[in-house]
Amino acid sequence: MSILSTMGRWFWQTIAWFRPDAAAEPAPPAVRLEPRFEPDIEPRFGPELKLSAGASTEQETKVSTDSIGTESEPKPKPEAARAAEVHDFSFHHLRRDIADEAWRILERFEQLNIRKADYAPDDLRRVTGIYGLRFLAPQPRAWSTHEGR
Amino acid sequence: MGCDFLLLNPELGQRMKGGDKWGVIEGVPAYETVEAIWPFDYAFVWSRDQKIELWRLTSVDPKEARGIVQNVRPHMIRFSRGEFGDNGVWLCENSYLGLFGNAWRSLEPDHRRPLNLDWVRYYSDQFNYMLPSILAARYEWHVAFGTIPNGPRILLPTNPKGALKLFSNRELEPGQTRRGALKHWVQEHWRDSDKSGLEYVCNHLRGHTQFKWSEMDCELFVSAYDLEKNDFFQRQAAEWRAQRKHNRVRVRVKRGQKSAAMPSLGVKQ
Repeated sequence: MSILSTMGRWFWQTIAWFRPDAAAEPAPPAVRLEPRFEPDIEPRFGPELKLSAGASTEQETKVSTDSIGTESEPKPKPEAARAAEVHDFSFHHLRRDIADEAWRILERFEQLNIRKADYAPDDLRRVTGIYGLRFLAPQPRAWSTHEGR
Repeated sequence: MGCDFLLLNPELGQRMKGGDKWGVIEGVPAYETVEAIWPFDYAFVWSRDQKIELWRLTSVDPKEARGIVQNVRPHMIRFSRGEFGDNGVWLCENSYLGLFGNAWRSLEPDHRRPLNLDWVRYYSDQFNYMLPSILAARYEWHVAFGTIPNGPRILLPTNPKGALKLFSNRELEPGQTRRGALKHWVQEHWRDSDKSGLEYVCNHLRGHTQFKWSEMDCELFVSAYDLEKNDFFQRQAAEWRAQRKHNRVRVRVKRGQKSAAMPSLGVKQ
C-alpha cells in the first residue's frame, strides 16, 4: 500500500513539474494562527464588569467611537505583550471559576447563619439529636491553624 | 472565631498553584504521614451533588479518648462531619477513628452504620488522601475567602507569584488610586541613603495580607515555613550586625593634603 501511494505521489509530482503554468500559480496564503478568544466568556464577578452608577452604555459607545476616530492605526503588539495577554486570559477563566466555587459555599454559610462559632440553631440541633452542630460549638482553642498569622 | 476550611478541589487547586499536583506527597503510608503532622486540627470543604460537605479532623490524645472509645490506639482522629444539601437537608455527626496499619477504622460501636466495609474503605481512603495535604499546607501559601466577619472561610492553596497575578484586579481601597502590594518576598540587597549610609537589607516579607476581591473579604496566608524563614533571616541579620566590627569608614582629610588625597580616594566634596 505504501509503495503504491509513494509511486502515485511521484507520478503526480512529475506531471506537475511538466505543467507549464505550475510556476505561474500564486502561492497559497500563509496561514497565521492567532489565539482565539471566546467573546461570550466573561467573569461573573470582579470589578471590571461593574458599570459606575452614572455611566450609561451610550456614553461608553461615544467614547469608544471617538477614540477610534482619533487613532490613526493600531500599533502591532510585541510578542511578549501578546503572550502575556494569552496568559492573563487563562487567569481570567481561573478567577471566574474560583469566585463561582467560593460563592457557592459562602452562600451556604450565609444561609446556615453561622455568625459565630458558638451559634448553633436549636431547630438544627433537635433534628440531629445528640450530634447537633457540635463542631460549630465553642472550642477551647483556635479553630484556625493560621490563627495570628 | 471561625474555622478555615481547605477547599478540596484538585482541579482548581492545581490551576491556582501551578507546577505540582494537589497532593505533593503521594504513596506515603499513613503511619509515616501521621508521624510528620501529629498533632493537627484541620478542616476541609468541598461541594458536589448539590451539597457541601465540611470535615474537621482533629488528632486525639489517648488520655482524652479513654472512656469514649472501645479500643485505644496510639493514633486516633476525632472526625466531625457536616453535610448541607441545597434542598435544605443536612446532617452532622462526630466519630472517632484509629489507625490500624495503613487504614483507619471506627473505634466506636457504630449503631448508625452496621459493619459496612464500603463505608470503612471510603473514609479510610479519604483520610489518607487528606492527611498529606495537611503536611503540604505547611509549605504552601493560601488565600482565605469569607463574607462573615470572624465566620467560616474557605482556603485555597496558592503561591506568592500566583497570588500577585490572580488578584491583580482586587478592589481599590476607598480614596486610593493604586493597590497596595500583597505580601511578597523582597530579595536581600544593599541600600544607600544619605542619612544612614550603606545598609544591608536581608531577605524579608513585605506587603498587605487583607484585600477585597469579587466582593469577598480575602486574606493571604504566608506559609508557616516562609514565616519561619523570615524570622531566620531577620535573626541572622541581627546577629551579623551585632558582630560586625567595621561598619563605616570615615576618611579625614587634612586641609593641606586635600588636593592630593581627594582624587585617589574618589571622595566628593
